Amino acid sequence: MRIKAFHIMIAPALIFYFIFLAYPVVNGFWLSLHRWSGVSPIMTFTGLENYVKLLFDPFFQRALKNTLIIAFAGLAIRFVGGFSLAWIAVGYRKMGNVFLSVALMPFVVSFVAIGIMWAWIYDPSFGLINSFLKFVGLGFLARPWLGEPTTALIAIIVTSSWQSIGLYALIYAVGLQRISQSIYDSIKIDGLSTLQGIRHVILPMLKPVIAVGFVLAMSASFKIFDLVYVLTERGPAFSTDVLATYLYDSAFDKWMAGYASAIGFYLFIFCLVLVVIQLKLIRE
Amino acid sequence: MFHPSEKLLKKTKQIISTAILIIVSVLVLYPFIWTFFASLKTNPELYANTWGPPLDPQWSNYEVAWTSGRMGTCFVNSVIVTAAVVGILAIISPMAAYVLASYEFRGKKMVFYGLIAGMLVAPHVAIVPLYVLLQQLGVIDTYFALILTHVAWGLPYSTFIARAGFLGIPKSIEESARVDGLSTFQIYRKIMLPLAAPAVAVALILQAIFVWNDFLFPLIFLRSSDLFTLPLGLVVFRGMYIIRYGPLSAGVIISSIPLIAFYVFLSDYVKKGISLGGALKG
Repeated sequence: MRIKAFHIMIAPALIFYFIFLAYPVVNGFWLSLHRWSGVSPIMTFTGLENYVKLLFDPFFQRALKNTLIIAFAGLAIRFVGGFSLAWIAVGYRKMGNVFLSVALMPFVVSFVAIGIMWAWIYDPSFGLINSFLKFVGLGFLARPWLGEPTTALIAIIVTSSWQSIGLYALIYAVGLQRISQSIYDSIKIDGLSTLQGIRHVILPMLKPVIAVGFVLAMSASFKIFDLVYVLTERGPAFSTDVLATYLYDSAFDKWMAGYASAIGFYLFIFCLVLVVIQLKLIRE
Repeated sequence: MFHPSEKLLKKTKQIISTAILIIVSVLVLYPFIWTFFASLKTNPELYANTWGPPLDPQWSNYEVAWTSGRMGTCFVNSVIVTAAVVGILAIISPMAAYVLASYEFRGKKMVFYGLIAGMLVAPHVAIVPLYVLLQQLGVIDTYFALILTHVAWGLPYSTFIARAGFLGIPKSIEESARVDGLSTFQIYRKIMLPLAAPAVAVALILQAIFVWNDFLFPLIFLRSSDLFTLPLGLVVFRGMYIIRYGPLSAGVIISSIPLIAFYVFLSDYVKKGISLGGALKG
């Protein structure tokens, strides 16, 4: 094979990709089959031992459960909320567009900044939520939102939805705008109510866009790390631990590099399987 | 045409829709405004006047955040790392995108699927081997650790968006340039890249946002606080100033304001990139 100019043009990208992405991913799988501290020269091949051990590890089970709750609750909120807002926004011309720009704004701000901000919003003494509840006479509902396991997990779901709802509204709005006006007109002519029209006509046409939204939401939730690290700091008492924070803890605090790599692959496999199942369901 | 009641119904619907959009906008914007207000308050004022604007603005909070809180150092680090990553991506990613869009070669399918896989894999999967690799290269705790990894993990996404830009250019333009005797690289540099520039810009803007905001890579690859980027610096700052809300809010504002300003000016690009990227990811 003669080397041509275009080979040279694509080479730098491929070199970066192979050295710093493909090779570490493959190497991660190799590491996950070993018992290794990450620093010592001794590395023992243990086959699938790490994967089996993880299934019986109560901390892993809790992290997996939390990740799944965050993923499915987040998916429902992003889909229903994102679609409703998109539906309303495309009904307006200029104002809808401005709204979509505003709603997308938190998406460009870091999770660290958002986590710090929302830790104050949930703060028991001066936090916005408690002071609002006291203001409207519902002070008995005020509580340390991040101090109780259930509300702390809900807080993570609410904050991550707040951060990304604009993204999903935008994606669905772009999809809705691509549907021609004649379809909207025919729904009216056929005498379908708005909800019937959405259910039987619009949603089936939006399938590809909905699929994109599901894949994005799932992979974002499975990767969630920064927000948990900053907002609840995995607490109270590690009750809001997720897969990525448990992975970090195993690798860089407990120095169990092989074990941590196996968590990484579980994270990848679960996310992939759920995405494939959802895409199948959407297609049908 | 309408019955009065029908007209009323339509009007009510419209009022409710408008109200929803306004309420959601307030819910989105108010936390930022509140944090900005908090950044100009003392602790006692924050407790006494939680919701409103500061009565006696403490601009010195920003000075505290910038110097004692080391936000200034972190800001410079974030600019250096983001600029380097975007600069390298600006050179190598559109070149690869152009080749993928215009040439047929053995293994092209594999490269293509490799890029799609690269977009779907979370960096967490490879974080331990990446750490080991960077240590072997001797770049742990340097800018290079962040730059090399961000370039590699940003490549799949930016190459995909840029590729869409190249695919949108009519084939005839490239062919006539070839007839004119331009070399492959000249065709790319002089003809194709300028035409694909909007898509390339969209891809780079999105990457700049991702790199600026990333927390995972600096957390794991850096040790010395002199090199920390803003998100990591902010977490350290919070550790030291946990109950001094004013300066800490100032830190949050300092780290977010470049992106918010950037977004206000370039929101159409960002929106286009996201809808384009979203469509491609499916």
